Amino acid sequence: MIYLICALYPEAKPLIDKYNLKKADDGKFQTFKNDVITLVITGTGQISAAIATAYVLTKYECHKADFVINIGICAGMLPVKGAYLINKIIDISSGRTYYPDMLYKSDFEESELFSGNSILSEGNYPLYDMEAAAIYQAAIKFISTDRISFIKIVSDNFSPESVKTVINDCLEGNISIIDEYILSCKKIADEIIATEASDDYIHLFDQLKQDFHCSVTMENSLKGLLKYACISKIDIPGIINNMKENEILPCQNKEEGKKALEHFRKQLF
Amino acid sequence: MNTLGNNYFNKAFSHIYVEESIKNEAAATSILMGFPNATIIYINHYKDIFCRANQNYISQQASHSLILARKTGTKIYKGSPVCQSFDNKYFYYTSCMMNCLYNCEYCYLKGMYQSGYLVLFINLEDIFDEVCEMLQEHPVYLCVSYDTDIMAMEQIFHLGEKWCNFVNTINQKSPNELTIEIRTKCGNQSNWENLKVSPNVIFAFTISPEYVIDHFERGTSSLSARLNCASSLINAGFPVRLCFDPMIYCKDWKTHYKDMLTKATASINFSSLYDVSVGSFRISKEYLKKMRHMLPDSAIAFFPYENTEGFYHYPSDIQNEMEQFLFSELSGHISKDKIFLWKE
Ligand code: SF4
Repeated sequence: MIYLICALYPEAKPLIDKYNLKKADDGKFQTFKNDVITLVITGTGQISAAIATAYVLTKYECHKADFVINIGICAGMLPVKGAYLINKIIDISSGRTYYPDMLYKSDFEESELFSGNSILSEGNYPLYDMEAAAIYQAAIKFISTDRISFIKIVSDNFSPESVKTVINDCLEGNISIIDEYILSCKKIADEIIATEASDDYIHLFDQLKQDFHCSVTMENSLKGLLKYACISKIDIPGIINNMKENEILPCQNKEEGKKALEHFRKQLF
Repeated sequence: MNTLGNNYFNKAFSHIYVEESIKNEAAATSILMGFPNATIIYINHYKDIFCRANQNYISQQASHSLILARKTGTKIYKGSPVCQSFDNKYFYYTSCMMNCLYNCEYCYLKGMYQSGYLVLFINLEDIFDEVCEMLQEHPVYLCVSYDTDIMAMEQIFHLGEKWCNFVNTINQKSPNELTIEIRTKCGNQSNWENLKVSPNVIFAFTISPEYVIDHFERGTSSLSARLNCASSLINAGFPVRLCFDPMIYCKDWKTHYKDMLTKATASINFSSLYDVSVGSFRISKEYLKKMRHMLPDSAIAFFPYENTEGFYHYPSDIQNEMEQFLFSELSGHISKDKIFLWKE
C-alpha cells in the first residue's frame, strides 16, 4: 500500500482524480482509497499531521513494504511551482533534523525543507512547510526511513494570501513526475513482498509436532528445521513419508521423538 | 536469497553526507571532487544519519550512500573473540570505514550496524597517531580492513596504499614493529600496482568456492581473480594469507571445497604462503537474530545452528566434518603449523 499524506483537500484533489480514489467510510480524517493507494487529509499544522499519519497507518495496519509519501505545497525562496524531493527536514520548533533516505531514482530536484508550526509571511528558507517534520516523526514509528518520502511544490515566496489560487496548478503541473515516483514505490513494494519467505512450513509443523511427540524445546528445533528445509527447497514430505514407511514416525513418546528428530535433522544435510 | 532489483535504486555514491566540520578539509574535498554529480547533504554528525531509528539495511545497501566523517574517541580496538588472532599477543583492529561495498549474505555487519550506509572516516592520520603511541609500548598486529573491505574501494579512497606507506615509514623509526593485515575479497590487480612492498603488510584473501561466491558473496571478485591477485602479491614479495573462513555449508559442500582447492593449488605455490586459516561460519546470537529479521528467505540466516555461549555455529558434527576435511586436504600442501584452525 502507498499512503499519501496531504494537508489540504485542494492538494489531494488532483491525486484523488488521477488514481480514481474513493472516499473511505471514515469519520476521523477524510480518507480516500483504491487497492493500491490510501490518501489521508490531515489538516494543517504539526499536531494534526502527526495524529492523522499515525491514525491512518494504525487503522490500515501499515506493512513494512508500504510507502508513506507526503505530497503538498510549501512556501519558499525556490521558484514557484517547482517540485522537490526532500532530503533533509529541519524542524525549526525543536531544532532537530530528519533525513529521509534518498535511495530511489527520480526526476525530482532535491532540496532541504524547514518545517515549523506557524504560517510565515516572510522568510528566506529555500522551502518551508508546517507538516513534514511531524509526519516523519509519526511515520517512523511504523515504517523504515527508506519508505518515507516528501514531495513539496512551491506555492508562494512567503505570501500566504496568494496560495489558494495556485494550489491546483502546483499539483496538476507536476502530476506526471509525482505519478512516476508513486509507480516506482509501488513496484519496489511488490518486489519486497515477493521476497518474503512463505510460511508453508507452519501447516506441516502443526501436524508433525504431534508425530514427533514434541516438548517445547523440541517444538522450537522442529520449527527451525522446517523453516530451513522450506527455504532450501528440501523435499520435506518425501523425508517424512520415508520416516513413516520405516516406522520412525509417528512416535509413541518423547524419547522416541528425540531420536526421530535427530534422524530428521540428519536427512536435511 | 532474493535480492531487490537495482532498477529503482540510485547508483552508489549518488548521495554523499558530509559532516559540516570537515567539509573544507582537503581529505573531504578531494573525495568529493571524484563525485561531481553527487548530491551533497551536510550533517552535524555521522550518527545523525547512521544511528537513525528504523532503518532498512538491505534497501540502503542497494544504493550505497556515503557518509564522510571524522572518527573521534577510541580508534583502535582489541581483537574480538570471534576473530582469528593468529597467535598474536598484541592483536588489534581498527575501522577507517564502516560497512562494505560488497554484499555477502552471511556478513555480520547486517547484525552489527543499524544502517547500510558506508561511512568513511577521513582522519586516517589520527588513527596513525594512536598506532604510533601504542608502538612506543609494544609491537602491534593490526587488522585494518575490518568491518569493511578497504580494497573494494581502493581505486576511490586509496586506503590500502596509505596504510602500506605508513607501515613502511613507521617501522623505520619506531621501537616496536607494526604488522598489519588487510583482509579482502577483491581481486582487482590494479589496486596493488602502486603499493610499496612490505614484509609487514599481510594481504589476507578470503578464498571461497565459486558456488559460494556466486550465491552468497555478491559483488566480490571471482575465485580465479582472487587467486591470481594473491599469486602476484607473493611474487612481488608481500606476505599472503589465504583464509578459508568462513566455510559455508551448502549441498555438495565437499565437492565445491575440493574444486576450490584444486584451483588454489594450481595457481599458488602453497609453500610460499605466509599461512592459511580455516573456520566455518559462526555468528553471535544477537547478530543472527537481526539477520533473520532482515533476510526472511535466507538459508544461511535460517540454518539450524547450535548455540554455544551466545555464538551460533554449525552443529558440531557438520562443523567438525567441514573443518577437518579442509584441514586434512590443506595439510597435503602446506605444513600443519601454518594452518590456523578456528577454535572457540
Ligand atoms: S567482504 Fe567482508 S565486510 Fe564486505 S560484505 Fe563481505 S563479509 Fe561483509
